Amino acid sequence: MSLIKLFLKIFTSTVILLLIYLPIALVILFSFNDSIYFIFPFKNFTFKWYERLLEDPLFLKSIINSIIIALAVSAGSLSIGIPASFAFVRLRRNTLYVGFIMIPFIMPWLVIGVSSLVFFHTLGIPLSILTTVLSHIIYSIPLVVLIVAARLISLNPNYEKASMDLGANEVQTFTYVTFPLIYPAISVSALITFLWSFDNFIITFFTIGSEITFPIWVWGSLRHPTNVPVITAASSIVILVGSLIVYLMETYRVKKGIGIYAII
Amino acid sequence: MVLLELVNIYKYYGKITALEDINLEVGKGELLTILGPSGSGKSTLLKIIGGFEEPSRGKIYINGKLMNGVPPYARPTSMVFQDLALFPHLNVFNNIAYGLKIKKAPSNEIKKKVREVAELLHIEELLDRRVTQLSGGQQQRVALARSLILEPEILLLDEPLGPLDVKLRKEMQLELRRIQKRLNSTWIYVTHDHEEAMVMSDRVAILNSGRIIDVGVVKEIYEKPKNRFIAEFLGEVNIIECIVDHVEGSAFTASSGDLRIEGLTAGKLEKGDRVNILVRPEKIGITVTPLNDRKNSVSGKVVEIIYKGAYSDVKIETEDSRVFIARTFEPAYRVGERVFLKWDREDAVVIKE
Amino acid sequence: MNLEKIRRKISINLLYSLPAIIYLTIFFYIPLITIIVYSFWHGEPLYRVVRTFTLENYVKFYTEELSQNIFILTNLISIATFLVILATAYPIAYFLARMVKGDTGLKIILLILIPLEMNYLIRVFAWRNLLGENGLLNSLLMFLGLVEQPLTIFFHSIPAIIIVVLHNALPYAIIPLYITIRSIPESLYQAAMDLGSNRISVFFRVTLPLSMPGVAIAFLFIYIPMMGEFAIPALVGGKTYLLGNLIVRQYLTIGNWPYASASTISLILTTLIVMFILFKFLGVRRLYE
Repeated sequence: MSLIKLFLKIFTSTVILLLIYLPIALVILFSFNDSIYFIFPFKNFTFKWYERLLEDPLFLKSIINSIIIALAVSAGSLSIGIPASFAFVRLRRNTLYVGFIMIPFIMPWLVIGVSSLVFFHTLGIPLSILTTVLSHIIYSIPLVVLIVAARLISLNPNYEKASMDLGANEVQTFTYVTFPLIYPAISVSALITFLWSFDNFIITFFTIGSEITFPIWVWGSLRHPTNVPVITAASSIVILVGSLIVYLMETYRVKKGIGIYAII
Repeated sequence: MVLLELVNIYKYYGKITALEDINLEVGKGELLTILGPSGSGKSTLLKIIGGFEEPSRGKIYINGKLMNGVPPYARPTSMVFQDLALFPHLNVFNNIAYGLKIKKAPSNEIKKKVREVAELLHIEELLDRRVTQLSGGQQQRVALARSLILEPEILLLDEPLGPLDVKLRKEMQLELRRIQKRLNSTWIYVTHDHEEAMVMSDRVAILNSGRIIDVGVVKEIYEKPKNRFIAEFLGEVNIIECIVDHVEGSAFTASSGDLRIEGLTAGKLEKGDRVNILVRPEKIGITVTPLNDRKNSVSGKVVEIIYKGAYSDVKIETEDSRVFIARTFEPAYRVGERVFLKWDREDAVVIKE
Repeated sequence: MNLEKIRRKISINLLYSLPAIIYLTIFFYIPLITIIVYSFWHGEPLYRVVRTFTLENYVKFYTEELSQNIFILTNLISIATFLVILATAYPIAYFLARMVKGDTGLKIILLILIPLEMNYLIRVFAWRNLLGENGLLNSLLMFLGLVEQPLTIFFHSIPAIIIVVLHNALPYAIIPLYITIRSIPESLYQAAMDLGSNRISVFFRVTLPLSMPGVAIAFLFIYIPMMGEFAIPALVGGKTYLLGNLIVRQYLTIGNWPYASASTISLILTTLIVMFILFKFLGVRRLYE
């Protein structure tokens, strides 16, 4: 038994360290290497790739665009998804309804991307940040519904009944009881849709047209070898900031007991 | 004075009948227990009174006013839920003050009233705590305080003591009763525990399969049950099926095999009627010395002694394989010992089949 | 409940979902219908479309050897990727769910989740730098004098695709597996042991069958995105050409939209059939409710 346990322990730590963290660690390490090649031996320590990165107008623009898109997607999908999750809780055994809301969620992103492309093209709508936002929201709606509805389902229905019993009408009950209790799930879904949208490449690829977002910038830069060290620097920044956000969010999520499915 | 009146209440869920022809009156200052096995519809009835469910048919009056269609927040009732439903995001003070805050009461009045009700329930030390930090008994008190502070005309309690351990339960039963008497308020208390019903209530309504099968003072129902179901539901009872031999005025004799029984009846009996004779274990005397009088008496061997704290139930098997249970406060008997049982004819209840 | 009340209840739910229903209808279902319509038109390269009904696009997709092979290869790689990830994720999930105390398991899962915030293209990039021709592994091997020429087997190959996807999708497999294994009550193990099963047979008779919903969810999270993936094969797959690449090329480079649409519809149908089978037979629903 202890042998199995030992084996599993070593296996788990090896996978986490070598498979998940080593590539990341190397990216961060080589972002300080004074060479345009990502090869041993390590040359001199330098900040120049970071300097060059911050001078790159395209990179800055891509980050700003990605933030604008992610904010719009987050706001849009929350305002559509939160009311829908209330209906979803009551209709969750209705296959037709559940299927309607969830099919965008289970489709490969490629499908959302190409159908948006064809749709906008057919209507003569030029591709832009706006079209990207519109197609990102398609996937974000079910994402929000899943997170908020999971919270609503786990909520004791007697809380609302007790509130009504103590004299609060429907609106007051929502304001003072239901909303405070689902608030953590709403904030988590806001953050998750933001991060997802910021990070999405596949749907963006079809709908962004000639604009740029951060993943599109990475995609473009990957094709130019001279840009390699600059990408390592950009990646390091995104990794550190992103990890911090995810860490804070996950700690909050575990503390508030929001379903672990939320992350998916 | 009648405070609550239920008239011909029916409740259907699809084809299932949850409640059937419920008629009930509850007076002001009364504590009525609704007693029934699980699935008997007692929680549904409470929900209908509280306004969480609408009856399929029938009318509800409180203070003479029709309550059908009136939402819970507009009814002068308040419910203590089975799972208490304390708001987890509010502390004890804000849970108790919730109803008054909704009513937009002035904050000094809220503070004063919360303090009063907290003192009544001995939870004044807990007001700053989170509800999740409280013990089960403390949570009960907070839930009760949250409802009582609104001074509801009728307080509805849905098995609130369910999850507590036996000792705490007994304490809370007495305390609830004390509070109810002190406030002279009207409570409707749902439980499946007949002992709890006996401790708590002025009157009890017994519910089975969605029908009220008896309403009355607990002691009377216990001692003079209308039928076998009620008798068995209200605790251990010995039942002897027998045939009436002879009737003379209110007295009669009956027999069951070798057993000869004398009894008294208020109703009409005739020779040859099949009847059930019910005798509570505590009404049966138990002795080791043989008895002269063979009437209302059996003998047998002790097969089991069940300790129940202050008393013990002694299970006896007769030679013709009948089983009797007698209650004794001095468990001086051994398994296998031959004993004699006897009861007075006044203590036997007769139910015609 | 009377009919009026049922009607009211439905209409309230409808009102709540109206924004979602309208939005998804306009921006998802109508576009979907658009590509369905396209798929039955006659198309030629460079975006020329003849609006006459035809089945030729589907006939072409399902009968031509090239697309047949791509379709089969994509399925095979998706399934192989799933199996590799499952073989990696299951021991980890089992270890975290059954062999560590308290919420340590959740903390380790958090540790696995954090790097997810790294854009997946960056992760592809990281692996390229590790395994690629000018990558770290080759430079290390050459530095140590073990090889003369950079090795290409690590990269621009199907294994490279699988490694990159493994890195990307591992958490999505570990989490559902962890949840299902964790939710098997301890008493069930004890009962099985009590009835004389040893640990290995307990695993095969209790743990594995009861964690099947988790396996099914993991399959969905890996197989479906993989069926539509085009960036990873393009960046690290060498000559590997998957369904996603075919669709992208037909839409953006060649410009035969009807044929591209027919390929996309085939992809959607495959996805839906797989979903249906999983929901029907593997009790995915059980996990969610």
